[in-house]
Order: sequence, then structure tokens, then C-alpha cells
Amino acid sequence: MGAWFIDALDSRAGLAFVSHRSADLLGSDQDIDNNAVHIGPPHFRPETVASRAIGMAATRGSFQTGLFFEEREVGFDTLEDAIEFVRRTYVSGGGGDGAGGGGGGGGGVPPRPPDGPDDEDRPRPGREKSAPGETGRESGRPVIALREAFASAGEEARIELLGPAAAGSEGAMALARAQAPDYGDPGDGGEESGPIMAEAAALVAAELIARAPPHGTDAATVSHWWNAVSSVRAAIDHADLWTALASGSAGTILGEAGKRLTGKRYAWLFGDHAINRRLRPGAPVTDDLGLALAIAVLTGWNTRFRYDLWDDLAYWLDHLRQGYRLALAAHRRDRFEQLAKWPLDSQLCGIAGLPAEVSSVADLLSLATGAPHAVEPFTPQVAGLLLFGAFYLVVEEEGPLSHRYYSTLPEAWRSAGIARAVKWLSQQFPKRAFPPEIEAMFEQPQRRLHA
Amino acid sequence: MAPTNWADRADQLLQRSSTLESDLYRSSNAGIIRKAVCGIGLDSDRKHLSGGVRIVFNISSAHARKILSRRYRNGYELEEKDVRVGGKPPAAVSNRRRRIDNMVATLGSSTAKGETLYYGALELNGAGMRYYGDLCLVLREAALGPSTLLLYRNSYDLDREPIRSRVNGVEAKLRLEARALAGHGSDAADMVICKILTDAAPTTRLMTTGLISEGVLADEDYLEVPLEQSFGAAELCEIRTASGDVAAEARIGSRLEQGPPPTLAELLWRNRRRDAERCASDLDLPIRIVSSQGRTR
Repeated sequence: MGAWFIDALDSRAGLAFVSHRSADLLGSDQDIDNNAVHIGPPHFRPETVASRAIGMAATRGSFQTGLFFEEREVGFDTLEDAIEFVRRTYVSGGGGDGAGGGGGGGGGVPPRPPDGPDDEDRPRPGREKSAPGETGRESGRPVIALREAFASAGEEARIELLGPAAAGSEGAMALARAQAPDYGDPGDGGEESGPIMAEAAALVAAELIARAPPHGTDAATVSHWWNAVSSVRAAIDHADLWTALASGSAGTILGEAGKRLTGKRYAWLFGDHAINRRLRPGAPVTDDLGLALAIAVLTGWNTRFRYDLWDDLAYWLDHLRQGYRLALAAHRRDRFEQLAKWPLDSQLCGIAGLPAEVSSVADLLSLATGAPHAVEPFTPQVAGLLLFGAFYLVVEEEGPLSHRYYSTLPEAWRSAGIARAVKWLSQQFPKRAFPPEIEAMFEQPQRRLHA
Repeated sequence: MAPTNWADRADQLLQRSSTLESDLYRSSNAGIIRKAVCGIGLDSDRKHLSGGVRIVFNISSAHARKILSRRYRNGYELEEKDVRVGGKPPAAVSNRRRRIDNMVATLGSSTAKGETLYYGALELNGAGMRYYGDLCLVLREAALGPSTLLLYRNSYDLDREPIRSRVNGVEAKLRLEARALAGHGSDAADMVICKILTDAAPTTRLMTTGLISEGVLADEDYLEVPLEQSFGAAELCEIRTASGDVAAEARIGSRLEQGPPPTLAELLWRNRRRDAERCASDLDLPIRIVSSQGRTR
């Protein structure tokens, strides 16, 4: 029976040679004079090559021979199915870059300091103090709907074991019957997604603050940490999330993270400013102090509140919560590379099956869109992180600078941006859902890289 | 079938006594090919330090950091690390490759083994076998010694028509066919002359270096170099990358800044290329963009 089979595959590189044939790799008589198709990044457009020999020869380097399930060759109904399989192995494999998988760029996430605070008692959803009317728990819905549409298609996908019954027999094949998910119109969800993006930003910022280098850390590590902080700050500012960050669950997460900075170990971060009066031994460590410290770190001790507002924390934070926009200059650089510097905390790493300490939002984005089933449970926090990352990536324009007191323009702008981010995420989600036996293969590349 | 004497075979292509214009040009073109392969300038008899053919290995930028910080690994070594996707195939799957690799090993030194061969290609100015990866690792000139084993074709051609029918499953015949494909570094110029001129149409034009480059490594057709040792960054003189890939990379960057937004796969690909470039820079390895396969230096 003819189907599309993989002759050679380099999953990490996203390179493959496929051909339309019978399941002949187990046989002694393969017709390698047949045409084959080369597939590769960045566009994954098929390109015909004159014979299968070039693919066979590739297995002497980084390519594996064929694709097997229970000693049967895996076949695909269409070339598009085979291409989608290769594309997804590539994208989901990107979830290993942060852990020294070979790529990553920009040095990856900043390391945790050797004796830094652990995150066991980090406030997480369910324990936070929510502001009245906060809808963050329920948002992220458009992204979760993508995952549900994918899962629904997966239920229809089937694997058919064909050919001789004995495993390893010539002609035995596992035909993967894929289904195309219907993502419909992802909608915008913009009105309700602000808080969940702010919570995502807070989770990343809190993890970065937990990684603040103590006094005496080498200059390169300090600089790398600050570059990561400044890129998160740019993303927060870009999406106009300061107000949301100062309240609700995001504020709680950030406040707790900031309170950890009150020890002598981190006093050097704040220099010789009014804040040091509040950091003296024995001074009360309030929630507001923690939040203010965290925002001070994120904003690079911005001059807007450096002297005039700091002495009255409550006033300053109220000011922020009511819509005072910091409007800091954004340093956006290569935004995908910045995402690779945003660390995930250990709980999120556990959900995604990514290695703790070294994984980033870029890793999560790769894994969750390349292999959505690998992220379980697909929580609102995961959705929020994907949305926060996607917003930063795809909304290339600077937001309006008008003050919230006088205009709703920033809200409208962010809402439109969220719609674009959701749309973009829907385009990155799988175009085909494969049967579970094949879906499980997408979890292999990054996990093996960390073995 | 005796081992091929490449000098004789190249000479037979040239009708030395002919006065036909096209035959005279064929002889002149053979001389031009010889100079280009050896790195001798067209306007002098001196060898250019960075000219001539090189052994190249194409890799994906996704593997660059690992390979440059350690060494190049072949399929057998990677199999041991078990990095494959999907289930493990039955042993029969790799038997074909083993049979050919073991045959190629008999053409090398007495200690050569099929499992410790590293297959590169001969390249002149180009960016190598792009099907195998977007980065072309170029070995230093010293890697191509007079006794380095060269194969006139991709060794998998031993298992394709018309050779396959001639061999008909008989190992001794396969060995003879393999020997007929083999040459050494000292034969490189004659092998390239044979590859380019054997089926070339009569011409009354002199060849350009670009044409010779395309003849040395054209699309899927190349001269194979099975090395008996692996290599690392220290053995490289440069990394080449095709201008098409550089243009794609720049376009992805431009779309990131001005929209429409690139796909995640495109961003990942670009990010890995940048990381590879960073790694090469740390190692003082130049990256050259191949925009023309002509005489660019």
C-alpha cells in the first residue's frame, strides 16, 4: 500500500527526506531510484529530489533512518501530513534550546544564585489575594480553546496497523490517520485577557527577581540578569501592564517576590537611595514594600518615582493602580531572543515537562504550540504566558502614550493586540492532530536532549 | 573492473591531436579546471593560499553549538546516543547502510571501519550540500592530503541502477565497482575534470570558475569524501552559508520588526542561526556568505 514515508529525519534540525512508496525500509529490496521530497526550515515547503539515495546517505550524519512505531514504518496519508509531522518535531524540539540543546541564543535564562530563595512558598493561583472584580482566573479562554480544539481533533485521529502481523516484517506499516483541528475564529478575548497577561508577567518577573544576583556575583552574570529584567520590563511597558501588575493576583505574586529582596544580600541593588531607610534591619516588611521593591527592580529604579514618590509608598502604589503609566522607553531588540531569557518557575516547568532552572518562555511557546498535549494541565497561567509572549512577539508597534485618566485608547490598543496575538497563536498550533501514538513522539526530542 | 587511473581517464577525454575548435577548447578548459581545483590563479602560476577545493560538511545551525564545542559525530555515534524520534527500528533497517559503509572502508587505510567514517563532500567556493543543513563547515586545506580517499559519486550510487544490476548482489562485484569509483586527494583535479567534461557538450567558450564550482558540487551530485577521523572547530578554516538563507533570515527579522509576524518555526530557525554565528565568532571562525560560486577572492 502506498503512503508517504520518512526515509531520513533530523528532528532537531527540522530536515527530512520523504517518499511515496510502500513500507520498504524493513525489506532487502528498496527502490531508491524513486523521487523523494526534501523538507526543511524555515518555510517547510517541499522540494523534489531526484532519488531517495540522498536521503539514505543523510543517515550517515545527523539523520535517523525512517520513522517507526512498534517496529513498523509509520506512513502518512498525504504529503501535507508528513510535512506537518516534521514541522512539529522541529517546533516542539525548540523547547529544548534553553537547556543547552544547542540553540537558544543570547545565553538563555539567567541562573539561579547558589543560595537564592527557593520557590516552594511562592504564591500561586488559589492563594493570592484577588482584587474585587478581578477576572484573571477565568481569562486566557481563547488560548485554552485552541488547545481544546486540538484535543478534540486528536480524538478522531487513528493509527492503523497494516501488513504482516509479525513485528518487524517487511511491508508492515502503521498508518497515521491525522485530523485537521478546527480552531474556528479564535476571537479576541481582549477585554478579559489583560489580568491574565499581567499575572504571566508577574510570574516571569518574580522568577527573575528570585534569580537576582547577590553581592559579589561576577559582572557577566549580573549583566545577563539585567538584560533579562530589562526585556521583561519592555514587554510589560509595551502591553501597558503596570497598573494590572500593581493589583490583584499579579500584585500578590510580585509583592511576595519583592519581599525576598529585603535582606542585606540584595541591598546593593538599590544603591544609596531613600529605599535603604526601609531596608534597615528590623524595619517592617509590608506587602506594599515588596511590591514597590519589585517594581523598582523591574523599572531599573526609574526616576519618575525615585525621590518624589518613594517616601509615601501607599500613595505611589495607588497612583500606579489608578492608571499612572510609567511609559518607559522599551528596548525590544530581537524579541524572540528575549523570550528565551525569561525564566519559568519550577511549577510551570513541571507542568510542561521541561527541565527546571533552565527553561524559558520561548521553550514553553515552542513546546505548547508544537506538542500541545505535552503541557498538562493546560492552565490559565500557561495560556497567560503564551499570550504574554505572543503579544510581545507579534505586536510590533509601540502603544499609545495617552494617559489613562483621559483616554481609553490604551485599552482598545491592547485589546486589538491581544486579538492579533491569539490569531498568531492559532496559526502556530498544529495543523494536524495525529493519533496519540504519534503525538507521543513530539515529546521525545527535547526530553532526550536533557537526558 | 580495475581501479581507475584518473589521470589516464582525464587524458582520454581530451583529443590532443584534434584540430577541431571545440576539442582545443576542451583541452583549455581541462587546464582551467585543474588550476581552479588546485587554487592556482588564472592570471599567475602561483597557488592562492585560500583557493582550491576543500572538504566540507553541511550541518544544521541547530547542531552548530554542539559540534563546534565538541566534534562532528556520524550516524553510528548518534544511534548510540539514541536521539531518534519514534520507536527503534529493527536491525535490518541499517544493514544496507552498513554494507555500503563497510565496502567503502575497504577502500581506505588498513584500520578503516565502516562505523568510523565521516562523509563529507568536495566543494569549490560554494555552500555545500544544503539539503543536509544550512551551514557548510569548511575543513582546512591540510585535511585534503594526497592519500585522502575520494569517491567519484555518492557511495549510495553503488546500490542504484545501473551499478546495482551489474553487481546483482555479488559482494566481489560490489568491491570492484567500489574500487572503480575510488581515487585519492592527489587525483582530485583529474576526477573533477572527468566529472565536468565527460558529458559536457562541445563548446568554444572558456569555462568560468563559477561553472567549475557548479560542476564540482551540483545540487545532489557531488564527489564524496569519507574521512577516517572526525573533526572539531580547530580543524575548520571557515563556515559558509548560502545567500538565500541569509536573505530569508533578514526577511524574518524585518517581518518581526514591521510585520506581518513570522511563524514560530521561522523565528526558531533564525534564532539558531544567530546562535551558531555567535558560537563561531567566539571561536574566531569566520562565516562567509556565498553569494556567487565564481572566483570571489
